[in-house]
Amino acid sequence: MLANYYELYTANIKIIALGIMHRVLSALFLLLIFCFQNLHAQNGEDQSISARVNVSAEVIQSIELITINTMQFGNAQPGQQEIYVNPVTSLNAGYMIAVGTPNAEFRLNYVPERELTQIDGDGTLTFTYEISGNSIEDQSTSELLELDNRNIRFNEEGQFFIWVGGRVNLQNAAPGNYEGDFTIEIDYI
Amino acid sequence: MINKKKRNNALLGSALFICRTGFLFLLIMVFTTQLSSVSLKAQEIDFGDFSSKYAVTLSELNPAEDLEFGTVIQNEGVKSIDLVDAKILMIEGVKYLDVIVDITADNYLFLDSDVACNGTNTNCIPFTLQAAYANRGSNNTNQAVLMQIASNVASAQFPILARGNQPPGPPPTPVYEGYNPALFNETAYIYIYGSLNVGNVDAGSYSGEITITVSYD
Repeated sequence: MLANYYELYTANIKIIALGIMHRVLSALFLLLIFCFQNLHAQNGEDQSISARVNVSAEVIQSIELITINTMQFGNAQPGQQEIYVNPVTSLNAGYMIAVGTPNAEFRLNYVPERELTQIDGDGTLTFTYEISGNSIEDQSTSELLELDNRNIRFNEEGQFFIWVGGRVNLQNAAPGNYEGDFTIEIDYI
Repeated sequence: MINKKKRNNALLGSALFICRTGFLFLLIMVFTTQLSSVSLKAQEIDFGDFSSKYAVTLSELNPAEDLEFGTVIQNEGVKSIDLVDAKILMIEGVKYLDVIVDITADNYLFLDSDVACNGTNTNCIPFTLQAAYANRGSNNTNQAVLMQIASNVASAQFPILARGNQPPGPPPTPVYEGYNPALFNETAYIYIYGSLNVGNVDAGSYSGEITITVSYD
């Protein structure tokens, strides 16, 4: 009986000791977890804020100016005072197509008076240009491009049609062949 | 019976020994954990660790504006936006504290947001980021400091208000009841600009994105 009581007593002590150990270990384990969490929480305190900015650009097609036909004066007759090529009606008018971004507006500039020089001599002629333009390929309905209507627009295919004519005074011209350059400048607006 | 008693005492002693050993082991672990966390930051008093108490804001000077290159023509080549025309952002925060600023930009602007670009396509334009900051209390590009940039990522660390030749200021005032952040805040300015290299690309609308991240050190 005493032996049984002693065994029961020691068994209880063991249970109590193991229970204490278990509790201590559990408490320390929880403490450890808490420490780690605290450490991580401290690192996680870093606040960061962000913003986004858009970058943008609109790319438009570069402009090409394609010469289809050059202007033809033909031969001047003796005594002829002037040569005139009507850009709206003459078949001798030069013909060019400007190609760019569809529907984009552009400005067309040119120097209306250019000097033609004699190829085999010292003679010069002053040529006064006239230009007409159209958004469709139809010379007869093209409009003369004066200083006040040079802000124009490419059509839906990105084309604009240009006819070049002009007049030259032959009164004091020496016989011979003449040549000169003509420059059209087109810029997007 | 005496033997049994001795054996039980021995068992009890073993249990207590394990308990003590375990306790010591865990104590050492806790100690070393704390020690390691301290030693990592032993070289620096990092007031930013307490920055969760302080607000920092990032805003655009002109919110409606992109970094806008406008109209460019095919094969135009390099088109730049200079520092004086840069997109401006404002960082408002505690003037004593350092901020870390990271700016990451797309390497390309994409046609109609089509991001399928390998650098040789005709639907993307190379973009080169440039960035600077001014932290002398005013929006002044003459005071701008250029940021280091690598692979379209710009980074910098600087105080909201430059200290100049002065020693570092005092620790930030703790947040208290009635704390007025305006007394301790200042604004620094970020300038974002850069350039495009427009080659033989398709016509149309191109866009890209720049992300700016700010945090206290």
